[in-house]
Amino acid sequence: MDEAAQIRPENVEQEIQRFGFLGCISKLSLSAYQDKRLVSEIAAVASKRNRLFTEEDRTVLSALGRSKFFEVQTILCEVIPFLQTAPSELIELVQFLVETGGADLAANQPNAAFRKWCEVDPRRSDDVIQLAKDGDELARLHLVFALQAKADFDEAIACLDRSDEEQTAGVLALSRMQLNKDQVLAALEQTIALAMTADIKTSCGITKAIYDIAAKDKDVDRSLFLPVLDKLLASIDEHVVHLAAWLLNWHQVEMSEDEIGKCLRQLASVKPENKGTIDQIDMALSKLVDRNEIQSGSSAARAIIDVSKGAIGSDALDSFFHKLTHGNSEQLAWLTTDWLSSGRFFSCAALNRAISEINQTAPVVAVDEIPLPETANEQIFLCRKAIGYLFIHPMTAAAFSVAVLERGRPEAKQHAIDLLYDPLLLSYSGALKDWLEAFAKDNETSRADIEKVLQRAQMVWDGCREAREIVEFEPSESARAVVNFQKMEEAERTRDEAGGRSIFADLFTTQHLLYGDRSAFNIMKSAEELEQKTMPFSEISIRSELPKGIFVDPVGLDMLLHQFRNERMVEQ
Amino acid sequence: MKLVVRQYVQGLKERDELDVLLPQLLSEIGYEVIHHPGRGTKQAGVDVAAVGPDPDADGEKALHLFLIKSGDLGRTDWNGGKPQDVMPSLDEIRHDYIPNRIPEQYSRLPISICICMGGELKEVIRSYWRGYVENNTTDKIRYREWNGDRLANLILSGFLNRELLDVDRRVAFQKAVAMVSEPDTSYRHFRELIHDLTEEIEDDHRGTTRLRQLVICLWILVSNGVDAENLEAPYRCSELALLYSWDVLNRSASAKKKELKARSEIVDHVLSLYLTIGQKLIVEKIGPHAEKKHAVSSAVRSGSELDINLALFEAMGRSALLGLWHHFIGLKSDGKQREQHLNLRDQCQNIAVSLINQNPTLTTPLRDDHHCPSSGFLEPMGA
Repeated sequence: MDEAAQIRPENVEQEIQRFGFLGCISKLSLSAYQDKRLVSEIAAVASKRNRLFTEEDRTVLSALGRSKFFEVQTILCEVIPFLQTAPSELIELVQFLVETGGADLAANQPNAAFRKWCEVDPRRSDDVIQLAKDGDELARLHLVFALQAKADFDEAIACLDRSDEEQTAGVLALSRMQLNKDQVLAALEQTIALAMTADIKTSCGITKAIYDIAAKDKDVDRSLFLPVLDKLLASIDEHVVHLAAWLLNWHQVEMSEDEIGKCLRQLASVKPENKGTIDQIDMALSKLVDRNEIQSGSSAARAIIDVSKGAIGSDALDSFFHKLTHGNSEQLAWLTTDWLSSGRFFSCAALNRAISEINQTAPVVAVDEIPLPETANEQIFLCRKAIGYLFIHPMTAAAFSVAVLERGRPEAKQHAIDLLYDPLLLSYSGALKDWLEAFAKDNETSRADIEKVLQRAQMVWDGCREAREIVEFEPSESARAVVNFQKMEEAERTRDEAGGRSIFADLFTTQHLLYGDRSAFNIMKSAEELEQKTMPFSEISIRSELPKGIFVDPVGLDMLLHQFRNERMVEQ
Repeated sequence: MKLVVRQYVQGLKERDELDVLLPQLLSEIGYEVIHHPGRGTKQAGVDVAAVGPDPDADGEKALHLFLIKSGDLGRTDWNGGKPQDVMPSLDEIRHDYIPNRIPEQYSRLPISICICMGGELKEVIRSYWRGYVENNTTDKIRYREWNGDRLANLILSGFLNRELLDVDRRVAFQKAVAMVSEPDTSYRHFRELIHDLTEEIEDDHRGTTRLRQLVICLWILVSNGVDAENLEAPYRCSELALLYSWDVLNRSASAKKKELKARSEIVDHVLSLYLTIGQKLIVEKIGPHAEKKHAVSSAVRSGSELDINLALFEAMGRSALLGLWHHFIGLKSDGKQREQHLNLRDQCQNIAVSLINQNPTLTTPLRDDHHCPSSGFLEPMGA
């Protein structure tokens, strides 16, 4: 039990006198924010001070560690709405908290607390508005919360004719408050006019608000704000790209096809270093998948990956790819075929990374869902691209050749059979073989061809198994020891890297499991009593097959895959 | 040690193994070998003839006529209707060799007709043997049984006795034999032994004895490798033994003619053993798999493409080398022997070509010394 949690409400005054306002709060443990009586007592005592936020308090806050700072901030956010103090003093405290919180997601909590403080008494909002009118810089920055708390439409509209900060506060307040149809229309007229004359950055901010306002009335005439969108989307400024991504993420449902198309076209200009924008794009593309708009999502994602030369890939667009690989398989089949047929290196490589066949017994795209291109040459080209890019996912790579056997042009079939044999079946004899056998059993059209190619491969596999009698080729004991040592070193390095990246690493203790089928750890039952808990391990297994080709013919296989990846369609 | 030697003797074949070992063994223990065996040169039932003490007659000097058989002797070996069976051969010796073929200078010596076998006489024919001996023993002619146990004792007291093979060498030899399934370890110990035996080799009969020790040790190692179905250590050790024995022969310029002749024969034996083990490994073991796609590459059970590449180049090199030996010997021989060696050469060549065709890793040499033109080794063979 730490010392801080022992502060009782009746001791608060004494403690604040001794340590100061924030000095006292910093002594508390996080759970104190739930203690209504304590919070109320702190607010009451702090409100009596001559000055709410002193230099001493600044020093205390500045000296806190990152984690402790946010604990103190959480408690303060509970205290703020109960404070009886001058708006300027509170704004000063809130501003300091927000600035110190930096880019952390929790950094804006004090703003919400300030809004609640304003909501307690409408006169508080009036005071802030007045301060802003009088030119108080900090008050202008916090004006939006006062307007929002008061929900004063007229005052918000009036702000649009004042200083830049007040305009911003007014626009934001309008976007956040409840509005009726007439108010929406009036707000849109005003904000659109502002957006048309503002610089790009400000205009992007106002446009976001415009879309938020428009979302309050689903019957609103969207052609009203198209000029703003057209004006902005003529630029590839990073703020505009961010706006396009943001609009697609937050307002995709209300947006017209035209609006969506314009915004999607903007996305390819995103810079790989703009992580926030990429996150918005990722979410926006995921929503396109949800809405079964795979064609729009597919071409936008492909353009983004290819334009960035792979700097933005499957990792950056993980939500999009996760939706695809764990959702409607028809969409994935469509996208995979589309991307492979285009043959663009970076997008196909990203697709390869996004797909996983580990522990799978069937391809990630279903054979009957693959939309085959028209001509035999295009079908062969698709099969070769599938193998070139998806070779490490043999069932998925094979699915395209099998689709050609099922539904393709007759003149493409022999090529598909040959591709199934070499390099696929020559390299894989596990899950791929099992899947092909099962597929052939259920599908009469391709049965004979698949069985024939499996028999051909079986001869090779049998030959390889029989040749194992040549024990003379086995690596020596010393060679095996070196390989084992290298593997252990690599495993240790991987474990360290994984631990370093884990978000749980700082939260949980690390248990080192030596042997056995359970782990043991101790928990504190009380101050003196330690209880040992045991937890049985559950079984986790991962099955994956390494292609034999990388061992028996590394250069040849690499060359073949390189050729498949880089070859182009012959012009007809 | 005796068990190892006994097992080795038991497994020796009649031709090219037991009939090669026996004269070496007799020479080593002081017998004068007057008839060496050769394929198709069996003289009236006698494989080897030698003059020396008869251990079953208190060491009395006698002419020993050996009839060699491999393994154990059973009923079918005694008189199964074939002319080379034991009883017809014994009759042939009695009726043809003794009256007509004994050189004059040995005609006064008592004669011991010995059936020599890697194993032993089975109980089922012991009564036949006893009856035959009782019926045909005369003052001058007696019959002796040289079984595998006696041969093992002679090897241990002759080639490998404590005076000739000291403790360190014995340990190295035993380790080489015991670790035959771990080729690196076996090879390391055998190299230690062979180096020790030949480092400061004498020009006289003592040096020749050392070379014989080398051969017998190699034979035993090879025999164990064959039993363990792992020919890697035997192949590498016989290759090494060939190089060492050839080097010793080259360094024996000042040795007497008799020693030179003996040493030259030993080198021939080592070469013969090397070719035999090469044939077993390359032609009989690898050969059947060479035509199968990726099969030989898959035999290298390793997760490293480097292991596969190096193992395959080693196999191809061995195949080429064996082919070159047969090419060389074939060109130096005549008639059937020439044809036989050239056929073997062609087999090796075909294996090497198949290995390249079916194992693509052979198209990408990784080591500098593998960068010779791949056709280079095939050119002398006419490919």
